[in-house]
Amino acid sequence: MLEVKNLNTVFPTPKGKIRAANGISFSMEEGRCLALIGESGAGKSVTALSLLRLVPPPGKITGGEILLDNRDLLKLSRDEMRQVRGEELALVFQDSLSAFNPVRTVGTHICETINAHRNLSSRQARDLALEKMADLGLPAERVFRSYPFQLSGGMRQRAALAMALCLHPRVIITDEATTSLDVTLQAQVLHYLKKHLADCCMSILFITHDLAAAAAVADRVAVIYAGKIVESGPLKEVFKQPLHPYTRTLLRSHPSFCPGTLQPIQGSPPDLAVLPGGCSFYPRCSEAADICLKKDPETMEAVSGHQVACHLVNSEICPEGERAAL
Amino acid sequence: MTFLSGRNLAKSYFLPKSLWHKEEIRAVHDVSIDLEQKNGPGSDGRGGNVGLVGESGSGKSTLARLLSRLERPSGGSLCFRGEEIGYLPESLLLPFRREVQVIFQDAAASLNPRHSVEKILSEPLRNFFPGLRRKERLEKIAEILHQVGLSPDHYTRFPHEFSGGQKRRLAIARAVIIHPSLLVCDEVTSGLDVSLQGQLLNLFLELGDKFGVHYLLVSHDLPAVRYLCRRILVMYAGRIVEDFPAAETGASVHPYTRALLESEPSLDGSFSPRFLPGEPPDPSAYPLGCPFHPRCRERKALCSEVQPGLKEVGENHRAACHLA
Repeated sequence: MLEVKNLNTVFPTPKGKIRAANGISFSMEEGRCLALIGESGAGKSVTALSLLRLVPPPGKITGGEILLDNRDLLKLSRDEMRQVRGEELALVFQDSLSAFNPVRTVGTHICETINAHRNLSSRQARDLALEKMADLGLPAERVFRSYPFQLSGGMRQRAALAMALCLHPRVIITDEATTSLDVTLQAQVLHYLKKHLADCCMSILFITHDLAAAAAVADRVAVIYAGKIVESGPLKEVFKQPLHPYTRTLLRSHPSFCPGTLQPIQGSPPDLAVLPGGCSFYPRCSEAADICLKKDPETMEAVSGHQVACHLVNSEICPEGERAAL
Repeated sequence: MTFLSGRNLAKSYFLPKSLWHKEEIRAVHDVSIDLEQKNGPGSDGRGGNVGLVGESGSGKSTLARLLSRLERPSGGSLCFRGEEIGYLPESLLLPFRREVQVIFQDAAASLNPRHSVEKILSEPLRNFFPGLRRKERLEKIAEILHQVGLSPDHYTRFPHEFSGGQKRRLAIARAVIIHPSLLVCDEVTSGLDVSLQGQLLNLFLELGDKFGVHYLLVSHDLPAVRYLCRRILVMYAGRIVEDFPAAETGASVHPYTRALLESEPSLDGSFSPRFLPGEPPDPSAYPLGCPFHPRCRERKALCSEVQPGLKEVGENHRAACHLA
């Protein structure tokens, strides 16, 4: 349904061009949840903003295609894009306190969103807003009248979710929406997201650095490193048999994936302005070979539905003939 | 040996409600806690570490601030190596500060942006070892920078020249440079990338092993607490509701602890839809009886009338629940 092909987003800086999204490609099916995981600075949020064409200047989308039902969002006019936002693609931010206007009630926010897209009376808009909030397990009447600061973090995050869901978007993008919440509140939000996914035919792009939260909601996972997707596939397969060394080390840094002593990745993500030649993970990779320094690995299908961009996987899994063809 | 012990500790804040009335917020009340010294060379760095978990607003940060004497308790007693320190003036707390240090969640905000690393790290040395010469101080600084994984020649840099993870390491270096016995860590791993979080947790273990540092880890991140600590205290509504060995999470008896453990997403994708309904109680008006009873699935009539006390339910295991 949503297909992103070779998306490039660039931020020009005095130091050089920062390639925040460097040829990102993925696709999403209806009613499914794709988790985009990676460290901070990997380009997760820029990808989310690029999908909505909300990249803050001086950042620019320099190439690629974002196809929503075979319509390229990058070719739409500004007004057409405004219609797409909220109606077809909705975004929920990490910090819902700053996403709401502090001097207006939560109800006003939600009704404003509805009125911007639908021709409804204020009564109907109100009913729709109340219905959505009740769906998310909120005491709708009270929350409708409350100001953002009067709600707890979990309720506010669910109110933000209600605002995003009120127009039945096709795809909802949650950018670290549960990261700052308590475990109990996170469980609440995840539960409602999952329930909604099952009830309405909606897709979720779940952006997070929390592997456990991703495991709880997603069916597919894409691991992003230095603006590139290095591995993607069905969640269970990727978490059980990670093919890319980065995914492996990521899993080994998490206390609940790794029963013994943690073996976190050393070093920090590369500076996107001066990317090393070859594979961008090369300097931190414990299994790096000579070829990794020379050539940037291409994304290839290792097992059906499971893509990976790593030279080392090629040599192990690919049959001889295919490798020669590459 | 008991190192730091609190008896019936309490902390209330007063908020003006109207011109004449003040509302009492009981952030912590009736908490008794003993911290022991068990880490040292050759131990695995986990022995005496205590994890303090709970939802936001449960009073865990306030308790951590009381135990590190950043707040003066409103009731109860706090003993440090057998001496009462709960109500001492700041000027007499120096020996205590020498052994108990704090790391805050926002490491970047706790470093003065105008101070170089040398100045930041020499401040605790000047305070506690006034006799040191600059050369000796620089030696110690180089040693500690190396220990926390920063380059020893970084001492001329300023905080803004470091990344988020490096700033945290710097905050840890500042706390550890005087070799304290207890390090109170308030949500130090939350909001960090998994890779950074893993690096920090391992660094904590290493320092515990090398210098005998003990940790009081305040967090809502259960996997991290389980990894670093041997003992877990669960707080709810300003009280400790369960105290159990970290290895025996399955044996937890309090319904709140179990709800916390169940809310943690599991990794095989089988997320249980059982989550804790409702919100934590209002700290100005706790419900009568057990503060958890309005949200408890297993409540009985007794729970809404009598508040349960903390009692032994097994070896090294205490819980405050009528059903236990």
